[in-house]
Amino acid sequence: MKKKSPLFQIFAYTFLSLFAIMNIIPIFWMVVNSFKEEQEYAADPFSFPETLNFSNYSKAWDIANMDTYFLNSLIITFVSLIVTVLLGALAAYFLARFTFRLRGFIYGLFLLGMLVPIHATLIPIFLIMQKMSLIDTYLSLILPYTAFHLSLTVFILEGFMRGFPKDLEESGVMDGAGIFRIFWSIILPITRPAMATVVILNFIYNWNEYLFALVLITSNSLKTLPLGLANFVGVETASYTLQMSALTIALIPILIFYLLLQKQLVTGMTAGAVKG
Amino acid sequence: MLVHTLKRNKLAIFIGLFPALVIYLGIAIIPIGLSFYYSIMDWNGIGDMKVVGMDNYIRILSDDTFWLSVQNNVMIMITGLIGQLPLGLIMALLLNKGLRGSGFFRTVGFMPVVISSVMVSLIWGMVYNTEYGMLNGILSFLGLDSWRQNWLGDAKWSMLSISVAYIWQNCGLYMVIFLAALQNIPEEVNEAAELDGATGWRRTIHVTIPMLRNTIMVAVVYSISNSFRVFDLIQVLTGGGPAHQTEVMTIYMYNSAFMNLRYGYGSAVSILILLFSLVVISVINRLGREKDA
Amino acid sequence: MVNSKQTKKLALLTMAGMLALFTAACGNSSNSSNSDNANGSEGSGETITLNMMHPWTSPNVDNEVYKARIAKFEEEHPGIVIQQDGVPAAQYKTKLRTLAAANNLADINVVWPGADLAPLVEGSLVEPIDGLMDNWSAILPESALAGFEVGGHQYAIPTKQTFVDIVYYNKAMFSQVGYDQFPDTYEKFIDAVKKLKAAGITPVSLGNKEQWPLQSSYLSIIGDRLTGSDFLTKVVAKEAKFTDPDFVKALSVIDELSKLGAFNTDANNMDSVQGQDYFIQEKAAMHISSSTVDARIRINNEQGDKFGIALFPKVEGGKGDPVKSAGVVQYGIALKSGLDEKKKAAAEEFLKYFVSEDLYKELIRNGVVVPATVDIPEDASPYLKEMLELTGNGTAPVFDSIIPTQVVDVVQNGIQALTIGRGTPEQVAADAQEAIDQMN
Repeated sequence: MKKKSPLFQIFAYTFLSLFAIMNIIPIFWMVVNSFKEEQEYAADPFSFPETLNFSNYSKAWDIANMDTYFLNSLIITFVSLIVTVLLGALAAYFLARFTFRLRGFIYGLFLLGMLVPIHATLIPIFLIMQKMSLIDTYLSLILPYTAFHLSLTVFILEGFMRGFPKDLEESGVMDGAGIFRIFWSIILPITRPAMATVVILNFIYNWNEYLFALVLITSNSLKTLPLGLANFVGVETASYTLQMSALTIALIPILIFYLLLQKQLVTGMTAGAVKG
Repeated sequence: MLVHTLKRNKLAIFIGLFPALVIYLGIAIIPIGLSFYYSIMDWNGIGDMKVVGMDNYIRILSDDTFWLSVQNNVMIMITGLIGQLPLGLIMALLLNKGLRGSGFFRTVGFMPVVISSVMVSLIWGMVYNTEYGMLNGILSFLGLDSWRQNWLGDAKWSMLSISVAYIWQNCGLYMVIFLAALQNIPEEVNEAAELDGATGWRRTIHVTIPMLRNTIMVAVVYSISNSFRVFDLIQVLTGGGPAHQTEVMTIYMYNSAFMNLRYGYGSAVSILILLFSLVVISVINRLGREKDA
Repeated sequence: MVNSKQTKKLALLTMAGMLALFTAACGNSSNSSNSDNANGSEGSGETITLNMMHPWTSPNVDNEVYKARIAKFEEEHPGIVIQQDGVPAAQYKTKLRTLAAANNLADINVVWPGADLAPLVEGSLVEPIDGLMDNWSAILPESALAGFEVGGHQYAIPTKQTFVDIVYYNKAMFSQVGYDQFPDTYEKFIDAVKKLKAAGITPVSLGNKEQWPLQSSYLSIIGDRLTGSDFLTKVVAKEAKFTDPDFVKALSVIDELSKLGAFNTDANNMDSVQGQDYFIQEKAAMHISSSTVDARIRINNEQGDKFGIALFPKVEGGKGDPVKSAGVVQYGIALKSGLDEKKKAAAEEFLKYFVSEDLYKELIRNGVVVPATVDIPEDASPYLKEMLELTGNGTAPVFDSIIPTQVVDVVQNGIQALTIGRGTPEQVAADAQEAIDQMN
């Protein structure tokens, strides 16, 4: 990278810092309040805690049932994510790099899933799961998560893959590699940043999904974290400080996951790809 | 070109698309079909259904509240497009320059996307609060007392205020997408541009951004689809109020179907949401393609 | 070009994916086999598993009481397992309605009275419990049961009573404007509002984002003061109209308060809890809300004695009885219809055990108002005793427990519009009447 002009640096850092402040304050405020007594928060949401109530965290952990819900969320999130991204990438590859008769139709079909308001599908999905006797199982969440996020996954990956130079696969074809081999060794590597994007998006959507989990799961042993996080609010009562402790805990996995993946976002495979 | 290998590979295409399609058709498309079916019914969600044909649609389309919600959706869509996308793009461009601390900024830039809607509601509630809100506080500090507003309660400002929160919440999404896309611009393109003497902003505008056109289209469509499905943010900020002023179609639908026990009617709204976004997206797509040509 | 390492990687990843799916499927099957066991053993008369759906997830005192009671039941009935599905309160109705649409209710359900219960009865989803009623005849007055009676049959038994219209007021602020006691007529009330306003104090703190507070806590009781207690049932029976002058007058009370600037500016973007907090932070002189929130305002608050409680004052020329408080029974326990004999017997056993004098006493001990006539334990909070005294002189109906939800929605939006200076009381009344006329 070339040295940037000082003017540019000043501009860039001012802009980024302002932005960062706007984004950090909410989290900071959440963490500060997560240590307060409920009455302390009710009296003044802006004050610092008189004492750090670490016990909030263990209470919050119990109320949100994190012992079980945490693991359930991890399992459901990752299984859906892996299935979605694998199937989605494959589908996107064929939609992006091949021309065939139903291509436009299938592509349009996938787009449709991005446009449905999720509340409208609650009762239909429930009925379908009931028909398949899947109510109250992991699969009853994994299937809808996969299905609805396939849309976005296919859509984004297709957009990326279509942009690659047309002669990209040539070398593979000349090597006599099969279509799936080309997908795996040529297309996927250069799609890595885009894959990282959809993996992050899928992770967040699955991790935070609430409505399907609400209606499709009834057993305590199978519920997911977002349900637990809603346990703090009653009809006209709420324990905001405990909820903030729980939200802080729930944020950690997303943060770790994002931190691990954000490097992939900017790992250019460009040079290799074009040489290929 | 792949075309000649393709012919032999109909089977491969089938194998590649089949698993995704099965799950997708079974779980995502059938509910859409069912929604359409319910939309021509008079049904309270329990008990008997009665076919009423287009009745629900006619009633919806003659309801002023519905059109107000459409208008609000359009507002969200437009502010989303002109706010989120450029902001996300600028962030991505800045963070792609290898500045010190990029990793840090990439992370905090994404925070609003992952933060819980409960927090979004509490935070923005405090920003916009009329009496002790931060925004009015800043305005007073700057001596602009006459600019103080009831940001969320006053119909003149409420949608705009929501839009700002919406942009804040989502621009990290587009930042990530654009960042990924920037990695696929071959080094050679930049080098060539530099040889041509294109530097700084000129290079960005004339070389980089055109290279991103595909991704920009993806982001545009994604942003439109998101803006037609926005629910949580508005539900937690204003609940669609005061008096429907900030209601969007999804909230209108949810209230009809689950609060007012008119499930058929609510399903019809959801079909309309789908149709509206489809129309907007195909128009945008056509425009995008024309530019292509 | 294509190296075998990558192919291996693909294979590995695919396998990982398959394995993941497989594990998930296994998790399911083991789980379903569990429940099979539970079902299967029913035949042998060993264990009966009952599902119960309830909204008692938040760490409130009464929720703890309920859960302890369930645990105690299981302890004393080793043959019956209660499998609880605690659903966050805000979305409880969404889940209930989805399950109802699929005809898949839990064996034991928590339901709301009146307009919420009716569709469940209409769809034959809940079971009449007329045969069990002797059990509660000594402790539950008819008024407590009325909300859960549809077409002459009883469908549920309430656990809790909520008075929705308690006026919490800041004693110091009121005496500052010359009221050592809470004003007992509407005229004085308005006078106090004006004086508070003039003294730079927000008269009333309101958190109306979810729209029900103005309807439930305000319109219920203001309406009652003006129209009397049988008006709403008459409206439903088409014997009276929302456009009757008394009801319009009730709506104009809200209009008048808004025009006087009685509410905090942000009333419509604060939720009910934030409304409470605004009052607790002493930013406003009054807060009108339910008896439940006394826990936050006084019972659990070290400085709780700053605040007093009162009822909405008498309105000149009104037909209502000014000592009445608007109350509604909550958390009716209802059984699913069509349970097999053994499950039904177990569920009835549970119902009898769960909703009993012991439960009510335990609730009272924890500061919760109950619908039953049971002795108040010595160790109940003095605040609760004060509350019971205040609310013990007759009960007025709560608006949304009588009026169908579609109409409630119209009214809520209408009165919210009044608070931002849109529409008129007459218009709100006309819209509400139109909405109720459109039904059936």
